Amino acid sequence: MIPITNFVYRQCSALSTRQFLIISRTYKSNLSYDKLFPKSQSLDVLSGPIQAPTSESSGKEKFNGFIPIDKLDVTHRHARGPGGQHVNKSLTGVEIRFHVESATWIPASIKPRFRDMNHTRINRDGYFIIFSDETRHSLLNQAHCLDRIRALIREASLVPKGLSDEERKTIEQRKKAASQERVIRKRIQSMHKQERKPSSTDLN
Amino acid sequence: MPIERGLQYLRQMQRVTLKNLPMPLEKTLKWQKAHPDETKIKAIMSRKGPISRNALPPYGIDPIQAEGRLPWILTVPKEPYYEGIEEARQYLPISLRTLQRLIDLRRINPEKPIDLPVLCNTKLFSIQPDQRQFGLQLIDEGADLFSTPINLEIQWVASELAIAAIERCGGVLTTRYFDPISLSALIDAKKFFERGEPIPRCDTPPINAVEYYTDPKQRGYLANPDSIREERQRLAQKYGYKLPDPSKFSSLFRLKKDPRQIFYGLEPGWLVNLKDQTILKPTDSKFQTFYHS
Repeated sequence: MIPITNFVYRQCSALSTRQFLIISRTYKSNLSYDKLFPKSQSLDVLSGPIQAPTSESSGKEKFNGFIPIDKLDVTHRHARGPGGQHVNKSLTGVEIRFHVESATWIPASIKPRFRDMNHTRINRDGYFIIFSDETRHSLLNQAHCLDRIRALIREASLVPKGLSDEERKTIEQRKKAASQERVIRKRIQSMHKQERKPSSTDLN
Repeated sequence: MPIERGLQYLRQMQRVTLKNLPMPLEKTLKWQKAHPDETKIKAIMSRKGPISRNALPPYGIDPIQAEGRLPWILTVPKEPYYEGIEEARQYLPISLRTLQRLIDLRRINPEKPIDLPVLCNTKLFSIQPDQRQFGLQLIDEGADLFSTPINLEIQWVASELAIAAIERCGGVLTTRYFDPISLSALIDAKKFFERGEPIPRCDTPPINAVEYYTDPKQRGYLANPDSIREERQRLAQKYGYKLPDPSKFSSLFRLKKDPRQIFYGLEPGWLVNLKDQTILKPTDSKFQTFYHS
């Protein structure tokens, strides 16, 4: 005998018999998840192994893409621009701050370059500040801030390739050839100008 | 006596042969004379001219007066604005704002999984399966207001922001397909049980929906759970929130339906008797194999 009712809100901390029966009963068709995905590591969506990085890059050379959200200081502020009562009252602008020196999630090799490239965003106390009020949703603005932070870190991590020996040689050769041509042209022009002057030779 | 008369007919009537059988109309000479074949016409007509050279102009053009005139088929414009509307699926919108409001007003219990019958019992949505409506879709209005962890099962999600808003609060979202027969059972569950029909087995989605429901980015119910976990992590990093500790969820929160199952706790094939408070289950192997396939 299993009574069927609507899901009515009731404060129940312990599992009632009905809930226990619902959980314990497992119906498996031909399309059940263990048949559809036999090789999956965990059929539970909440818990299981993840390949994407779930912790900081731990001082390695490369930034692995993980930003620890606890270490960022996220504040909601008033957005700018038109919008009347909605923009005045709601705090949809998002500002993210973090102390650059104590940020262990930025690799040490990237940090000085990052600081130089974004010195306009870092204040006197050493806090990197970024603000976004592009959209109406604070969640989207937060995503926008984080996206920009990631882009700036990537820019800082890109080291310029530099010139190879061959490239340097060709550049030097070209410079020399150009300067030689310039000197020849200069000499010709000066000869033209000298011919215009009356010459000092005595014509008898 | 009717038998005597029948025998009399048999004595008098002719034998059944090919000549006596009724002939299709197209084989009678009368019809063939009125509808000559293209090859017959060409054999009779001249060997020159546009007809013999397969060079007739399109209908609506007189070759002598044709200057600047369109054939009939081009004089009428084509305006395919509603092309494919017979197959297009509709989903009624439910915003995160209404969800939060229903939870605050205690019309929905967030501790239990929220799926279509729970939302239809609030009587805020009238879903009509015969109007090509296939359920509810989640809208991202009120994404900043939403702040309860829930186990939500919806039929369609178009925006990533809505998924992020639910997972930020520590909830779970799955998109689930229901065919029209299952949908009519879910919309008004009590009415369905009073009809006295066994619980239907849910069909697989149509071909143009399979891509959506196997996509982990849309949290489809046929997607690989490993990919869904990766996508949850990716969204958490993108939008800047932390995923909750999996051990803190109750087992009721983790409930997930089988792809053929419609109701939590009830199997397809069962017949629910509300009056006597009993369930009748099929014992025949034929039915059991069907409802478990």
